[in-house]
Amino acid sequence: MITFSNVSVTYDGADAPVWSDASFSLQPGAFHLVVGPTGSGKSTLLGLMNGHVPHFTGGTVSGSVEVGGRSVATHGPRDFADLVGVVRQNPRSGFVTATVLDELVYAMENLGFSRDAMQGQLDVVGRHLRVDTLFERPLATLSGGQAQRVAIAAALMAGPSIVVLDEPTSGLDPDAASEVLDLLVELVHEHHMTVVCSEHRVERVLDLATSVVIVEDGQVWCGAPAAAMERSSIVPPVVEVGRAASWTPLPLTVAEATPFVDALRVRLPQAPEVPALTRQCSVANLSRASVHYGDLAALDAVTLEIHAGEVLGLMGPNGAGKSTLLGVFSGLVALGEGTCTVGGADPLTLEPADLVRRVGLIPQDPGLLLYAASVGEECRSSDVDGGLAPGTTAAWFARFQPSVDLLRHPRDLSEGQRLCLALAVICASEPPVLLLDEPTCGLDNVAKVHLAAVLADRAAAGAGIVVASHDVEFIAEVASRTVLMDRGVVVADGLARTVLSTADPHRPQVAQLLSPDPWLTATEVIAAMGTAP
Amino acid sequence: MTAQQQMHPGAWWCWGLLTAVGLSGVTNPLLSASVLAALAVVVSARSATASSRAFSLSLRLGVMLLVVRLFIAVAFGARTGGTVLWSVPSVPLPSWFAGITIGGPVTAPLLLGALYQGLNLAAVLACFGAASTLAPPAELVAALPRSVYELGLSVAIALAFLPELSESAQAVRAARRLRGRPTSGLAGFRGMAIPVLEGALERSVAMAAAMDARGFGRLRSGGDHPRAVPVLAMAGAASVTVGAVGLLAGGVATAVGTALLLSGVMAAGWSLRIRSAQLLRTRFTQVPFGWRASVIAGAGACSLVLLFALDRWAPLLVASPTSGGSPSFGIATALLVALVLAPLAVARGGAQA
Repeated sequence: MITFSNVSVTYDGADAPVWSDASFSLQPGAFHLVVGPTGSGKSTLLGLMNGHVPHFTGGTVSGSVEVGGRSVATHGPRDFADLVGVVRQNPRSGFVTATVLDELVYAMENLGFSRDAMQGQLDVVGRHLRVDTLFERPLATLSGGQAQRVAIAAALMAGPSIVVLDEPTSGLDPDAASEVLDLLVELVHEHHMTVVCSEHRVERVLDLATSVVIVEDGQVWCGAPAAAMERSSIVPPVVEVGRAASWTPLPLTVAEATPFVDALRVRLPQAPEVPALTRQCSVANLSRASVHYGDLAALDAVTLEIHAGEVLGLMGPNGAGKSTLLGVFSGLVALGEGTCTVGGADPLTLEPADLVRRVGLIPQDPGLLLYAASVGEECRSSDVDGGLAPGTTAAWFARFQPSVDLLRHPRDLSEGQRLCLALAVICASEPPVLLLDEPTCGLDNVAKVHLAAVLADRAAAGAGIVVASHDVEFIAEVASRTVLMDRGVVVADGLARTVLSTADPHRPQVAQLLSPDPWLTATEVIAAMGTAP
Repeated sequence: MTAQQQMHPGAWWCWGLLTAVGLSGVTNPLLSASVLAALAVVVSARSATASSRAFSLSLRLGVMLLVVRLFIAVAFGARTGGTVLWSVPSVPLPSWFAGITIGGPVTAPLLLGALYQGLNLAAVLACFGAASTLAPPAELVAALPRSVYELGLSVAIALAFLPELSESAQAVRAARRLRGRPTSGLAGFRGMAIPVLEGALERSVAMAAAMDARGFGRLRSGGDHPRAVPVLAMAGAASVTVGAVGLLAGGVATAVGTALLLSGVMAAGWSLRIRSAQLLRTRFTQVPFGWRASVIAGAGACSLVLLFALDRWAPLLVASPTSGGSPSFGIATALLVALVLAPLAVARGGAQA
């Protein structure tokens, strides 16, 4: 169905190919997972499958790529429109029209479907993807999960036999994400479609995959999931534990690992050492705080205290009020009722220059905080803004990312590097409160480990840190305390270990594996295995 | 279902644009004000639930233009006779600045003239605002014949760019506050312009890629665009431009100009025909241009004819305070208001659902 033969891709102006000499073929009617670190060229690989690379992006492709019998050398994206459906990472950036119905029929109109054929496809695909109740809705009013379903439906309408998805679940909460993944499984099993999907959080999709393509260090490797997990640098926590404990055959899922659990328990102490929550010094406060958007209560009488030296993991489905909460603490959102104090002052009333010394927020897209034409200039202007000694921000950045050229443009950095630059800019003023909104979106495992270390360092220095995220494995790794929100209300607040291990069905894999023992992360289990007799 | 299925969007644009063309240059303030009122009635009656943001935006812009026009008149207006209301200190200019004055006595005719012109501008703007509220530009583009669809689409993308830009601006504004930077004033604007534009540009590129991946502009099986299409289209456009400029500026003989204009239109039309026959594109929601649509478009055409006729035979309507005569609200104005309100009689339903 999809065949790569000795393929190398080099973008214009680049010294080296993104990756080279890729040869593999993907069988039809199966689910294929693409994994690899950020910036390794996963999107380039996916882009080749409908001619987006090189016809739209430019660059040189050597070797041959054949998709459904058509050569990418002679066919551009529009020639693949009837064969390959494409879904982008951010579904909204791929929307072309204003309403759901217009969006759904768009590809069919371009391909000259008759009106009856369009109606037929709308009925079938619309019902199947549960978007038939949304036809009249403006796209702008859809929730994240709905938008992703509409984007997938729009890609399927013209009846392609291949769907290519670039991290389709990265912006979704766990429920919406599993809904989208269930849909993909149905496409493969019931409709015999070929699904090619890239994903950072491998634990979500590994059990669905027939084959795994690893893009790493300029090489492309393709094979069965079990073999792939032996060699990939990006693996789910359960595989990480399995590799450290040399389990054979290597289990890929929690269910497959169950037979090894008893042997593992023997090697572990009763429970990990857990420091008690630090409650001594409050750095920020919400008291009976409410925010309403029209009829919707984004925050409903929330009372919350953030303490110095803690990392608070803020979790909950989309629309639970997490971003609003961060917005209130950082003086971007006004409270309807209640009070908010950060370092003894109401953040809404603070001048921008005063605000940054008390609270720092890294938005979901950290690039928004960066405007300068180079990393060095960004650091210098941050010093000026904060009234800091020259070189302060650059020194922070060097701590987070020692080897980045200061002459590079912030937009050319990887997601992880950009996040570190934004962190350096914010941390330079050493605000006692640090807020991060979905920081792991688009980060690979290596970058996540790095971010976790940075956050632990700041907490040790006495900052109160709030991380809002859907990424339960990351929260398990960094958070000492976890707050669970739903529809504007705090529904759970306590030790991360307690809250996360009861958060069915989206518990961390290690918690699922070792429950009722209170282990949470692969890191702590592997460390404990090493010390046990 | 949607308003689009009830009424061809072209009808509302004919109605709005033709009225706007007729209105331009008509400085009777009573006429401008009555048209403004009539437009507001139609918009509020027809878009009870839909957003009338475009219309209110056009009204605000109109008020701004009016204020600017008055300011220019007071500051730089040519001084004529009449009752002096008050005086602005005048700046003596060297003699080679002939024709330009700064300051001086402010007279009633000076102020009234500016007011009338400003009102007229506001009314013309409101016509556009009303049309784009009643039939969003995206709907208009979708209803275009497929040969000019690509052309219209670039306009639609440009229009969609604006809300995108304002969203991007809000995000950047919030981010600047987070970095402790000014969000207002010149410094604020300078720091925001680049990231806002960058964000909107990235979005446009993503949109183009998405359109490409979903078969936009795909041709019937077999081949590429024939070379003749761009050549014909370019030649046509050039010929129309030269012809029109020649005729308007009087640089070429009328016969030559007309011939150029006509041949240009024909060449462009021919290229569109070839293109149209080659494109695969079909439409899901085809809105027929029914009798109701014809009535609405016809009302616009009648307004245009009426205003042209008045301009020619009843110049009192365009009376300016300097040439004497006071604005009148005659039977013609009443007729015009009736024409602007005419769509209400035929447009189905009270509100767009």
